[in-house]
Amino acid sequence: MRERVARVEGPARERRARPREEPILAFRDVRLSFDRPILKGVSFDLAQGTTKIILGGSGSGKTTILRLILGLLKPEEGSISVLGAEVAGMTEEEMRDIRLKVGMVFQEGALFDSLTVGENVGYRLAEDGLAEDEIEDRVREMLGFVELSPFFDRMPSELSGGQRRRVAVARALAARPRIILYDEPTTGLDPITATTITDLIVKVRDLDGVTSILVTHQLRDAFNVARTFMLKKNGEFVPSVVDDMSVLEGTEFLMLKEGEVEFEGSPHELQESDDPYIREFLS
Amino acid sequence: MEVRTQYVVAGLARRVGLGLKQWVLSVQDYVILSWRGVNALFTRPIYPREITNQMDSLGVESLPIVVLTGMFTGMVLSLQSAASLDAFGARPYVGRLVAVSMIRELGPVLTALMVTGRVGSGMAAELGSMVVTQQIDALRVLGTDPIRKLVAPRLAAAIVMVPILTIISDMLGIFGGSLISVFNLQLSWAYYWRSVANALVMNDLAMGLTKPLVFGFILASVGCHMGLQTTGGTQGVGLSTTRSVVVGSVLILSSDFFMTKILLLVFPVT
Repeated sequence: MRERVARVEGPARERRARPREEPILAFRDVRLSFDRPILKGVSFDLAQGTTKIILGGSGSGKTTILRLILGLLKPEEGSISVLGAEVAGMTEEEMRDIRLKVGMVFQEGALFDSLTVGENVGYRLAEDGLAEDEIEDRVREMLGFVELSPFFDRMPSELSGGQRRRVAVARALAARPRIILYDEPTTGLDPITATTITDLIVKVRDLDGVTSILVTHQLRDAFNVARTFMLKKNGEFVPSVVDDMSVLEGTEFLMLKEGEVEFEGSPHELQESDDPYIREFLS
Repeated sequence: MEVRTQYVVAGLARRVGLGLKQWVLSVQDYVILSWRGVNALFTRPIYPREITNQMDSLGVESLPIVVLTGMFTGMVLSLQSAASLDAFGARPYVGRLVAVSMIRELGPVLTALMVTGRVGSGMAAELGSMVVTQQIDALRVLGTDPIRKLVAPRLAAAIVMVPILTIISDMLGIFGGSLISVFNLQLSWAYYWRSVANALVMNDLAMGLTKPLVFGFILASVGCHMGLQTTGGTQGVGLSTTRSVVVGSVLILSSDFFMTKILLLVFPVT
């Protein structure tokens, strides 16, 4: 049973209460269409140390936003600033430096089937030419963080859906990114496994202080991330739930509807919104 | 009625136009991929471990099918040519005919077709599943160029291993022909091999070794291109695999004709 607390105290609050003024990531009037418009002028900011939860139905353009941040897609119009650099016009080669600072957790993990769990987590480090023992130490540390230490030598095909995503989180964190992007990390998982993933997202946010964007259509998981904090109890960090939405800090919701921003604000504002679409989405 | 006909013609023209446009775009993507793949072979970073792995899976693991194909082709060629040559009392020339046919034509083409079926399709399936499970995106996000990591090693392995497999196929084809000549056509062992040695000239070898280089490049580049173009989940992977075999085989056979035309000018039969 999780502890319920009235407000957030300790390192989690300190870290999340100090957003810098300059956004770490900014979208300005971004437009993109394929055979139909996908994004119709999306703008938002992401402050250092905060979490943005992007909600929306299927085909609303949520995942497209993550792909644009990483340069896997290019916008037709508008600007995208990531860590102070304008990425909209960057070449694949120029994007490499940005990608080294942004971690991504794909929908079903996207682990490399031909590599072991350890090799997957240490992939980026090996590519960067780090020494083998240095890589192994870091990989073991990361697997410990996601509580999968005994799985170092296993192949991805031997893992369950939840374990694959935890390994994907470890892989994304291995190179110590400044921003981490989660693409529907709980889709297709049972509620209990989904909670282990949302707890992990909270852990990354509160203990590592990594700025993050979570794309999901699972409201329960989105609110779990917003309301849960890692608080120190008897020398150990444990997930604790805050019931009062009005005291939550550091998490913002962005709701997309057919490629447009329908809502942007705090969890409390989302819950209190009178917008019929949001009411229908929340119901 | 006239309006309806116009409507049907317009619809047909639109579909043909769209199909043509997609075909041109696909050819453009193929050319760009091939260029970038070849370029990646000569610029850093290069992945030697990947190249070795691909050489193993493309070359060593293809040996059994290449050995069987080469051997049986030589044997059947020996049987068939003896039947025709007997009409002119030219049975002793069986060795010459088998050797020249195997080295100039059948060895390179059959080896390439067999490797396309086994390895080209495998490349399309492997890369296709990596596309649909977002592993290619994951590679890019982790700072790796998929063309360097996946396409270039496959190209290198095919360009090196297909000629080697072809040489093995040629040798076994000629050996298979000798077995039939000795045990079935009552030709002497020595006579057969002398006929082979007398028939072969450097031009045959030049032609027989130029073709597999190009075939290796075609089968790997088509396999990779089809794999990376995969869309539509697991069904798309199946389609890419089939397309890689069909397009690869047709390209190998048609390029064989044009290459033979050119190579005959460069290395004329004396």
